[in-house]
Amino acid sequence: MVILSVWAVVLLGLPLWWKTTRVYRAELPYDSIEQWNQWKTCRPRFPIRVNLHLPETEQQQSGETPTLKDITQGVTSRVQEMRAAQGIKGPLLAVEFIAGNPWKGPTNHIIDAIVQTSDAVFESEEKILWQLLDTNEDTQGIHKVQDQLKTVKYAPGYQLTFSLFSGDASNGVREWKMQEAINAYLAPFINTMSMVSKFTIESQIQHYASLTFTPQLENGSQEHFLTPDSLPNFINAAEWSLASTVSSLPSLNFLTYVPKPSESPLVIKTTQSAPKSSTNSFLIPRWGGVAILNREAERTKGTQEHPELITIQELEPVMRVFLAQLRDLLGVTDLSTSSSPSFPIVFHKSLSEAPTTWELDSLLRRRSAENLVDSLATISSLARLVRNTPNMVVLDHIQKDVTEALRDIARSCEHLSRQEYVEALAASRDGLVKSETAFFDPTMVSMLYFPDEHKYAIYMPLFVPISVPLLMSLLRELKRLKEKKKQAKQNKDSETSESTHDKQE
Amino acid sequence: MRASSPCLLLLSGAVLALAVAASPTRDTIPILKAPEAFHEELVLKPLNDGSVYSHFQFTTHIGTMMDDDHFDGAASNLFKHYNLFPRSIGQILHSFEVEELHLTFTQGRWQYSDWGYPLAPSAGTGVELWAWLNDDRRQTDEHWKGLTNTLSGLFCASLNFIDDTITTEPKLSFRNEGLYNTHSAPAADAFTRNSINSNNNNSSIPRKLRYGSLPHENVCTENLTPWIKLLPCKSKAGIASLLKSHKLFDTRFYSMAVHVRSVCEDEQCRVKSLELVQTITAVFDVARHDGSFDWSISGLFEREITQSCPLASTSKVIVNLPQTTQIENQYSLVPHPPQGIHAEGSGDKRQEIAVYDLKKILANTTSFQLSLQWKGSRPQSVRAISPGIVAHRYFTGFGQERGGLAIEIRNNNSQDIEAIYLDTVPWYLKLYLHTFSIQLDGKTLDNQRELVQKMFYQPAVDRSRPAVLEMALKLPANSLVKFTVSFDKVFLKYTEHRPDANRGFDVGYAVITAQLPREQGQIGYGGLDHLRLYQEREAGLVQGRRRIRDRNQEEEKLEEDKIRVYTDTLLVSLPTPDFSMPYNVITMTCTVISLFFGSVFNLMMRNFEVVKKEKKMAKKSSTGGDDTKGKGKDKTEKTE
Repeated sequence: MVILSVWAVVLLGLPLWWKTTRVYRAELPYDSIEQWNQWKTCRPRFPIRVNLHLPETEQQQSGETPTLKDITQGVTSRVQEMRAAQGIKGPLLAVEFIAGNPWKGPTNHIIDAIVQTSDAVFESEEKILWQLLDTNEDTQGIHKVQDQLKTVKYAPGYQLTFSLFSGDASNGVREWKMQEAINAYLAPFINTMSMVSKFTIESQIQHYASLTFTPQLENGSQEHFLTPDSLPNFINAAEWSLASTVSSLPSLNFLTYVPKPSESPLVIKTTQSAPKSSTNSFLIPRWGGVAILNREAERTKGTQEHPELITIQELEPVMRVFLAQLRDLLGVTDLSTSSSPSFPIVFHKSLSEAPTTWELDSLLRRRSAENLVDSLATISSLARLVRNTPNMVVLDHIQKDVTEALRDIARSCEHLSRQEYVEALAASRDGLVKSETAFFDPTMVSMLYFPDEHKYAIYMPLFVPISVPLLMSLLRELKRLKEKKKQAKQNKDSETSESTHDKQE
Repeated sequence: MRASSPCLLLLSGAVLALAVAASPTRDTIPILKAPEAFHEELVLKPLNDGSVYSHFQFTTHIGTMMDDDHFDGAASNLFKHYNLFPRSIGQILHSFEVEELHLTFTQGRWQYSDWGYPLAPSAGTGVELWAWLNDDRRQTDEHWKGLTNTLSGLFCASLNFIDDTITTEPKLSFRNEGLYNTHSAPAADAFTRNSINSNNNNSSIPRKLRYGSLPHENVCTENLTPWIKLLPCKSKAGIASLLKSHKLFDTRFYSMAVHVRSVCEDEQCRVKSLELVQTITAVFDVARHDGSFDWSISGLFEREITQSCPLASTSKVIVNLPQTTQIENQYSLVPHPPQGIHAEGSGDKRQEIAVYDLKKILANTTSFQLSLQWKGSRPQSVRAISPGIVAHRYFTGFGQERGGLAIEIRNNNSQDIEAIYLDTVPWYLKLYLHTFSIQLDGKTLDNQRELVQKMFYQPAVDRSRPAVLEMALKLPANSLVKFTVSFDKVFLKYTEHRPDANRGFDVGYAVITAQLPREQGQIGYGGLDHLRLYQEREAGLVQGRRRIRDRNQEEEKLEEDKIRVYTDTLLVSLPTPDFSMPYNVITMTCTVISLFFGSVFNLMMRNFEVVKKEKKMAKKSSTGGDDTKGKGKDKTEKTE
C-alpha cells in the first residue's frame, strides 16, 4: 500500500515536473514551410508583356492575319520545346503579347523571329532564374556559385565608400573632387537603382597608405607592374581603414590608388610581357573595385594647375571603371554584350549611364527570386534548428515573424505573376528582413541552452538515492507477489490435487 | 539667416572658404566655414625628479556648418566626404548625434605633488568617457549605449562595460569645453559658467551629458594602434613617427586621449569648426638607468623625426625649459632654437620656452635631434613645484561589512578657491549621507554651508545606478579640508563577482574641477587650448581671449586655468563567497532529503508488532534491567 502510494506520488509528480520544466515553444508552421520549400504553395512565374510592332512588309500576299493569340501560343509552344531540350521544365518566363498592329504574312516567320529574339534576350536570365528556383538538391549549390560570384548578396541598402589611397603624402595629393565626380557620373545610375536598394555614399582620403609588397619593375618602359598573382594582396586590410564603424549595411568599396613616386607609373599586366590593362583596374567580387590612378604623365606635361588636387577630368576614366564595376557588383546585366543571336538585335541604350528599364526589370525579377529563395532557406533552416534543439525557447514574436515572412513571400509571388515587379521586390525584401530577424534573434542561439548532461548532474544527487530503495522495494514486492501467486497456485494445485486425491479416494 | 546656407552647401570646403573670404558682405553671412587643417605639437618638459614629461597633441579641424544652435552635420557634406578628419570618428559623431566627445585612456598615477598639473585635461587612471549628446529626439540613452559600444570596437577596449550602473550625469562638472562661452560670458567664475552652460548658449536644442569611467581598464598597444590610425600621417611622418609602443608603455605615466568639440575660430564666434584633438602624455623615467638626468629625443623614443608630416599646417616641438634657481647655465640645450628662447610670465612665474619649427628645420636637414645635458648630469638647484590643489581619497574602517570614505583636499593657494567635487560611488557601497562630516584643518565644522555651497546627491539604486555626490566648494586659503562618510558593503550575488573575485572591486576616482591661478613653472594646464598659440591659426583669438579675461579681472591680473584634479582609484574588497557553493548546496540538500526519505520510507515499510511478554521477560531476566533499550531492539521485521 505504502509503496503504491509513493509510486503514485512519483508518477503523478512526473507530469508536474514535465510541465514546470518545459520551455515555452511557440509552434512554427512547419507544414507550410515544407510546402513552400517544394514551391507547392505558389510557383513563381514571370510573365512578360510585350508590345509588338510589326513593320508593313512587301510580302503580304497570303492575306493570312495571325492574331496575337496565335502568335502567343506559337511562341510559347516553341519556347517550351526549346527549354525542355535544355532540361528546364515549365518556362518561368511567359511571354504574352498585349498589343500590336495586324501583320499579314506567314505565321511561322514571325514566330521564328520572335522566338529568336526572345531567346537572345531571355535565355541567360531564364537559366539563372531556373537555377535559383531549382528544388533539386543535387544541382542547387553548383549553379549558384558559378553565376553569383561577382554579384553582392541583396540588401535593402548599401554603403558605397569611395576611398583615395595615396601611397605617400610626398606625391602631393591633398584633395580630390570626388563629390562632384559622383554627382556627374554616378548620380543617374544610383538614382535609378534606388528603386532596388537604397545607397549611402561616403568618400575618404587616406594618406600614407602603402602596399604590403613592392611591385615589380619592368626595365624597358620604367613601369612598375602588378600581376594577377599579386592582386589578392593589394588591399592592405590591416592598415587601410575601410570598414565602417557604425553602419550595418553591406559596404561596397571603390578604391582609387595613387602610387607613391618611387612606384609610379603602376600598371596591371597578366604577365610580364603582356600589354598593360587598358583600364588599369580590377574588380574584387562581392567587395568592390580598385582603380590605379597614375598622375605622373600629367605632371610631367605640366598640365596641372594644382598638383595637390585631383580634378573631375582626371577622375573621369576612374569613374567610368567604377560605374562598370558597380553594375557588375549589383548584378545589372548588360544584354548587348551577353547575347549572340543569329541576326543583329539593336538595344536601346539610355542616354545617361542609368540602367535601362529593360535591365532594371530583369534585375528586379532576379532579385525578387533571390530574395524568395533566401528567405525560404532562412526560414527552413530556422525550422530545422528549432526541431533539433528541443530545449530552445521559441517566443511568440519568432512565430509572428515567421508567419509574416511567409505571408510576404506569398504576396511577392503573387505580385510577380501579375508583373508588378517593384511591389514584388518590396514584398520579398520584407520577407527577407523578417526571416532574418527571426533567425538572428538573440534568443535563438542554441549555445544559450544547457546540454542534458548538466541537468542530469543536478538531478542525480536527489534521484539516485531516492530511487534505489524505491526500486528495490518495488522489485521485492513484485517478487513477493509472484511468490504469493505461485504459492496460491501451488496451494490451489495442492488443493485440487488433494481434491482429486479425495475424489480418487 | 539660414536661407543663404543651401547655396553654400553645394560648394566644397575649399571653394567655400575662398568664396567667403572674398565676399565683401562678410557680416551678412552668419555661417562660415573654415578650411580643413591639421596641426601637430610635441611639448617636452624636464620634471624635477628627473623624469621627462612629453605631451603629443594632434589637432585636426574641419569647418562645420553651424548655426547658433548646433552644428548642422547632416545637412552639410561634413560627415560624408572625409579628408583629414578620420571617417571612423565622423561616422560616430554623426550617427549618435554627439556634440562633444572626450575619451581618455590612462595608465599609471599622475603625481600632482611632484609633477604639477599635466597639459592634458584628464589624468584619472583607467578609461574616462564623457560626451554631450544631442537630446533633440530623446534618444540620449540609446545613443550613449551605441556610442560606448562603437568606441569599444574602435579602440579595442572594454568601453561597452560602461552601462547604466556606471553612467552618471554630473550637474556641475564636465561642462561643454568648446570656446562658445569665452566671449559671451565673463571667464573665471565657475558658477556663472555653469549657469550659462546649463542654458547651453541660449540654445533651444537640448543637450545631455553622459559620463562614465572604468578604473580597472588597462591600456596597451592594441588601443594605441587604432588611435594612430586616426592621424592623417599615421605614424609614418612628422611628430607621430616618434610613437613607438615599446617605449611609450615603459613609462611612469601614460595617457592617451581623443577629444572632439566645436570651437570658435574668431572672436565673435562667427566661424566655428569641429576640432579633433588627440593627445598622448607620457612621463619617461630617464634617471632609471644610470642616475643621469640628461635626455635626448632619440634616447626617449628610440626614433628620430626624419620628415615633417606634409599634411600638417604647423609642426612644432616645444620645450619648457627647467626653472633653475641661484646658479646660471646649469644645462645646455642642443641645438639652440633658431628663434631663440622666449619667456612667459615674470619673476617667480617666469617660464622659458624653446620652440622648434620642424617644417623649417627639416627643409634643410635630414633629421631632427634634440638633447638636454646637465652639468654633472644632475641639476644643482631647481625651483620646487607646489600645485594649487592636491586631493587624496582613501578608505577607512576594516572588515568586510562596513567602511568609510575620506577625502582630503589641500588648497595651497593664498586665496579662496571655488571648486567642484564629483564623486561616483558604485551601488555596492551604500553611502549614509547622515554620517557626512567636514573637518577644516583638523576641526569638525558645524556650519557646513560656509564650505559646501551646493550639494547634489543621487542615491544609488541597486544594480541600476551609482551614487553620485557632487558639491560646489569654497576652499579657504592655505587649508586642508577633509570629508568623511561611512558606507555599508553589499553582499553581492555570486554571479555578480568578477572572475578574479578575491582581487576586490575598483572604485573610480573623484574629480575636483577648479579655476586656479596659473602656477609656477607652468605654461598653462588642464586645457587643450593653450597650444593653439603655436598653431598660427588663431593666435589672435587666444590673445583676444586673454585681453577679455584681463579686462574682466583688472584687480587680480592673474592668469587662470580650469583644471581637473583626479584622486587615486581605490580597491574595495567585498564579502566573497565560495564559488563552488551552489553545487555543494544542491548535493548537500539532496543527500539530506534522500536520507530522510529513505528512513521514512523504511519506517513506513516495516511492520511493528508487539512481542510476547513472556519472551521479553525471559530476556530481561537474562540481561538484567535494560528495559527501554530492549524494547527498541525487539522489533520483528515483517513485510506486509
